[in-house]
Amino acid sequence: MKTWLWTALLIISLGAGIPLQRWMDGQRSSAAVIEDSLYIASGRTLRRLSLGYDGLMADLYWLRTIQYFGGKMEQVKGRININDVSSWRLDLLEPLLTITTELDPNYIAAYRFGAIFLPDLNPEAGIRFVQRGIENNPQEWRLYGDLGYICWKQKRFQEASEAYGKGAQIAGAPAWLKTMQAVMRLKGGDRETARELFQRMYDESEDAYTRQLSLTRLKSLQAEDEIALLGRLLNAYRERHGSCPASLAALVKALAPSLLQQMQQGGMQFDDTLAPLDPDGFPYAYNPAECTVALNEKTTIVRWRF
Amino acid sequence: MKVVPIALNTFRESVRDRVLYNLILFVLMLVGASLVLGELSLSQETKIIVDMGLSAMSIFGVLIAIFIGIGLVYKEIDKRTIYSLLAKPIERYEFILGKYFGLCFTLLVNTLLMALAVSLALLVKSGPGAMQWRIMPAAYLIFLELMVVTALALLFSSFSSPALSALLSFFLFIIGRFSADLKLFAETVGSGALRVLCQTLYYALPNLANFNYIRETANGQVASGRMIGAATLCAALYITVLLSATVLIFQRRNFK
Repeated sequence: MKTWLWTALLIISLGAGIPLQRWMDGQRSSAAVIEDSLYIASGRTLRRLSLGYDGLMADLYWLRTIQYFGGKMEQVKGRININDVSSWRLDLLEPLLTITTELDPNYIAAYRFGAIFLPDLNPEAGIRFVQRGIENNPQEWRLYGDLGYICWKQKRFQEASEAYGKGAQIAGAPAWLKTMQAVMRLKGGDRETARELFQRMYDESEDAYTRQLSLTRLKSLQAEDEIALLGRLLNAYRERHGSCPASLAALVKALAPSLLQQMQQGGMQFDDTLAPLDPDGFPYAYNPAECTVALNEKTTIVRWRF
Repeated sequence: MKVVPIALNTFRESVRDRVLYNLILFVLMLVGASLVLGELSLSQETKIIVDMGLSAMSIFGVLIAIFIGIGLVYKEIDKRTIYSLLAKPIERYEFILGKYFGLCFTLLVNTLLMALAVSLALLVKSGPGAMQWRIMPAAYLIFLELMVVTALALLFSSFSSPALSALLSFFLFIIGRFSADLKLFAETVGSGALRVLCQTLYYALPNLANFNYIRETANGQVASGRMIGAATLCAALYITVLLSATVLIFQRRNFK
């Protein structure tokens, strides 16, 4: 056979393979059921199988954990609320993190990731996981801070105070742990404590993800404060004028300039018409009939309530 | 001293056999890992680069030590060049030591270049920092491990075929990495005879876990001077035992 015939045959076969593969992929994706599975569920077994390359194996499981979490995030329909992942069906998150930390008991990032998300799924499992991290890394004050955070979230203020107290005793621990120990005991449940905690997490955290999450929560708290303030101002306006203002901009324009300046100094943002904006720059939603204010439907701020 | 020319010749032979080409694969892997893992690892790229770099350094090195090590003596016998070599005023122990140190020199160059590549990857990824130098003690310990594995491969190649030598070397490498389990098994097993056997094996076989400091290094720890000194002494003892056995066997071999 001639060379050109072989060449033509090769090109045609290659070309025909592309639509065929696409068709097969289409058939498969519509029918395939992706199951979550762990072939080996024991970190200790994997550690032996890794032939001493347990650090590398731990990294592979860490990457798998992140991909698993990211995959679940993509499956969430509607707006993603990272502040509560309890509905995400993260069944494998705890086993994956456990394997990672059994392979490398000093994998601090894995413990800290678990401290943030495991309590949403199972608070006791989250506490056990971080306690195991503390056993393996008794000098890591950040884990005590994380344990305190989980206990605080569960409104177990005494335990939170103890965790912060133990963390504060470690050499090199920052002074705010000592402060948090006292704060937890005195006024564990208020919003100021939450703000203080997230600000510390934002300042101290080394990884971008925790910083982002802390910032999201700080913005949520700021939005809560601003909504409460606008609510009080609306009530005062109604009492004085007998009716609600036509818009939030009208409410702000009616305020004394000194009060407006105070609000701006407190971090509140306004657009050109003086309509108040949430921390992500979206105008607050206003209902003039009921004189109430809420987050705009389009906002990227996620509500987080303690 | 005829050991040095034999060693240099063994090194040149390894370079001619393109052994150092594995460095290209290693660098490509590191660059790929640095680019991709930064996106995937959630701020753990430094740890992963160290883990991956040092593990690859060890895996590549062990593969070279075993597959080149088993051929060091066998190739000379197979090609019958051993006759012309031993006909010269060269002692058999000099031949073995020359071959051994030649491959060790190849592995030293390989490990050194790989360590520099990991340091460079860390420099590019995280900027100048302590981690670039912290990997050096771990890389040195890996080199000690490779020297022991080379001695193992050379021992087996002095009396058996390459396939069997590779198999035996791999087995001993695996057992060496499992030494801690062997000791644990000796402590927990009920049978007295089995306990004695496990303890004997634990002390008789090279404990390669002594040279593994990869995970700790990736977590920011540095091997202490005392630990490095003990590991060096340990490797020297293992190598002396293995090379002595190799020389003893090789001197008794009949090439007629």
